[in-house]
Amino acid sequence: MDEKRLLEVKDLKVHFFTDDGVVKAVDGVSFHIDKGETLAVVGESGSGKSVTSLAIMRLIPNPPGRIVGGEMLFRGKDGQVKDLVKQDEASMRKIRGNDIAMIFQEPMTSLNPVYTVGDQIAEAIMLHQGKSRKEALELSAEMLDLVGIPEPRKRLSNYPHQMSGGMRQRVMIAMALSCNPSLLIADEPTTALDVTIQAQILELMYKLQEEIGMSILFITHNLGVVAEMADRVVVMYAGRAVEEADVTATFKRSKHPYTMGLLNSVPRLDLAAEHRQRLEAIPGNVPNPLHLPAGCAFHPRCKYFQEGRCNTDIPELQDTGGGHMVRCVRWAEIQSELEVKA
Amino acid sequence: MSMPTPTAVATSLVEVQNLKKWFPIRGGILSRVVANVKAVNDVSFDVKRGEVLGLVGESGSGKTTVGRTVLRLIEPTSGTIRFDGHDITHLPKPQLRAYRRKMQIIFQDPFASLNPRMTVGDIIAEPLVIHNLEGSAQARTERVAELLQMVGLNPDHIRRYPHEFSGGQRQRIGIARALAVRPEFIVADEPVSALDVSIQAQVVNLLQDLKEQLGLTILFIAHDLAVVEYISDRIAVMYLGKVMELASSKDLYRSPKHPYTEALLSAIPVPDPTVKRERIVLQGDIPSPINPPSGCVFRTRCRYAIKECAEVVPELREVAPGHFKACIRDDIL
Repeated sequence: MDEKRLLEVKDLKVHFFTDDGVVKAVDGVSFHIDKGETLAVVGESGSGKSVTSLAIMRLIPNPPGRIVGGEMLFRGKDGQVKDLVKQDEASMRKIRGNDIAMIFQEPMTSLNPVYTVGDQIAEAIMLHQGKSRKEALELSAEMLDLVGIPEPRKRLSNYPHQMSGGMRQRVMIAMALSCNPSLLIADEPTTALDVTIQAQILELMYKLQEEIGMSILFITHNLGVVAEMADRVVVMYAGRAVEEADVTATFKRSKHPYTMGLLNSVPRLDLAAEHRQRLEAIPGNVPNPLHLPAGCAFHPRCKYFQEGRCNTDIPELQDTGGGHMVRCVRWAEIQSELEVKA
Repeated sequence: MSMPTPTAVATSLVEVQNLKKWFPIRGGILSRVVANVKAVNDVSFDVKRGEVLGLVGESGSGKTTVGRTVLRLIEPTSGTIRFDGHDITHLPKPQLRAYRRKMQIIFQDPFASLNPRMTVGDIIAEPLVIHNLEGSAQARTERVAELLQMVGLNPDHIRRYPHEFSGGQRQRIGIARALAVRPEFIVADEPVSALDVSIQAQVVNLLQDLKEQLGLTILFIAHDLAVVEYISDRIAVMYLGKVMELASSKDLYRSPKHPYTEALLSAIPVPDPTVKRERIVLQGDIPSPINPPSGCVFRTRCRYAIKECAEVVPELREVAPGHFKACIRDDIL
C-alpha cells in the first residue's frame, strides 16, 4: 500500500440475510483515505453509507449482517498494514478506540446514562494506554478542555443528561480523540444539532484535525457540510459508489446524473431570489433494497435513462481523468449534451 | 418562485397578538407551581390571506408551540388569536369545530402521524366523517381518490396501509388528509425535515403547487432557513419564545437587521466549496426558557451586546417598510 494511504477499501460487500431475502446493503464499494485527509461519504437513507462505516469498525450485527467480500487495508499506528476484514475480535478490540474511533449521530443514545462523563472518557484511556484511573481522569479533563467545555474538571462528574446536545457531542469527540486515533469516523455527527451548534462542532472538528492531524471519514447527507469539511467525496446510491472526486469537482463538475440531481434539489440560500428556479426534485423514491432495479439502480429515476443500455448491465466505475470516478454508461454523452446546452 | 400576492388590501387571515404560552412546572407535596417554562413569550404577527409565512428558529425557540397554539391544539396562557377577523382565543369547543375545518395541520414525522391500523383511504376520509362532509360513503371515496391524485399518489392505493409507503409518500398522505376538508389555513410543522434531500424537494414543490392551486394560506414552521426562505413570502425568526425579526424573505436574507438572524444565516453551510464566508460562531447554548436572560433574551450570545441590552426588553419595531426587529441597537447591521 502507498506510503500516504491510511485506509484502502477494496470491493467491500456487506449483505444482510433477512427472512425476506438478501439485502445487499454495500455491494462492491472501493475507496481510500490518505493521512490527514477528510473523505466525505454522501448518500440518502438506504445508500449504505452508515453500513460502510460500521463495516470498517467491524460492528455489523451478525446475524443478520455479514461482510461477504472485499478487503479493508489499514495502516496501524505501529506502521503495519492489516486487513480489517481478517482480524479476529481480540485484535479488533485493540484497534477500535485506539487506531480508529467513531462518533455517532445521536449523542444522547451513544453515551451511557448511568456513568459520569469522566468515567466514560477514562475507560478508553485506561484500556488502551494502561493508565491508572487517576491519570486517566486527569487526561479526560484535558480532553474536555481541548473540545472547549468550560470548567472541565467540574464537568467530569456530570452525567450525560446534565448536558445539552452540543455539549454531549463534544464529550463524544473528547472520548473518540482521547487515544489519538489516526482515523476518526464521524457518522452524521451534526444531524441532530441546531445549525448554530452544528457550526460550533464543525469548527471544532476542523481545528482538532489541524492540531492532531488525524484523517476523518465523514458520513453525511448534508451537502452543505460536505462542501465545508471534505477534501474528497464519495457519492453512494443503493449500496454502490456512483461518483468519486475531489470536493470542487463534485460540486462544480459532477458527472453522474444522481449527483447532479442531488445538488439541484437543495434549496440554496446564497443564490439571489430572482435567479432562483423551482427546485429540481429527483422523481420517484429510493428503491427497495430487496428488489433493486436491474442494471444501474438509479435508472428508474434518471432523466438520461436509455432503454437497453441503462437497465441491462451494472455500469462499471470508470476513471474519467484525474481520479474523478463515475459509474454511468452515458456519462460522456451527458457531458457533451450539457455542454451543447450551455 | 412564489411572490407576495398583489392584492389591493392585503387582509390578514390569522392575527396573533401578545401570545404567551407558559407551561407550569409543579413541585413539592402540594404540587404548587414553582416555575414556568416560557415557551412562547409575547409573540405578535399576522398571516395575510394567500401568503406563506415562515417561522424559523432552533430547538426550544417556541416555533412549534406557536403553531399549535394558533390552532388551539394547545390553550394559550394569554394573548389573542383572530381567524378571519373573529376572536377564537376563548371559543368553546363546539363553536371552535367550525373553525377547525378551516385550519389544518401537517406534522413533521410521517411515520408517527398516521395510524398504522387504518388504510390510507380511511385516514384521509376521517376528517370528512368528523366534519360531516361529502355525505355518502360513495362521495367520500371519490373525494379521497381525488385527493390522492392531487398529492401525486396513485388512487388505486386507497386500500393500502401506511407501512407500504415510503417517507415522502407518507408525507403526501398527511398533506391529503389536511386538505380533505378544504381548509383555508394550514400549519405545516417541519413538513420536510424528516425526508431525504431528493424527496424534500418533491414535497416542497408539491406544497407550492397546492398553495397556488387552492389559494392556501400557510404558516410554514421549520428550522432549516434555506427551505423556509425558498417557500415563504415573509419570515419570522424566533429565539427563546420571542420573535427577533420579521421581514420579507428577500430582505431577511439580503439585509438581516437582527444579530441573531445574521449569525443564523452565517451558520448555514453553503453547498459550494468555492464560497468562503466569514462565519459568526455563536458561543454557548440557547439559555433555559425557565429562566431566560433579562432584557434581550439573545444578549448572552450576542457579539454586539452592550450594558443596556440587559435592562430593557426590546420591542419588535418597524425599522424599514415591512421589516421589523427586536433589538435596541440601530448602529449595527
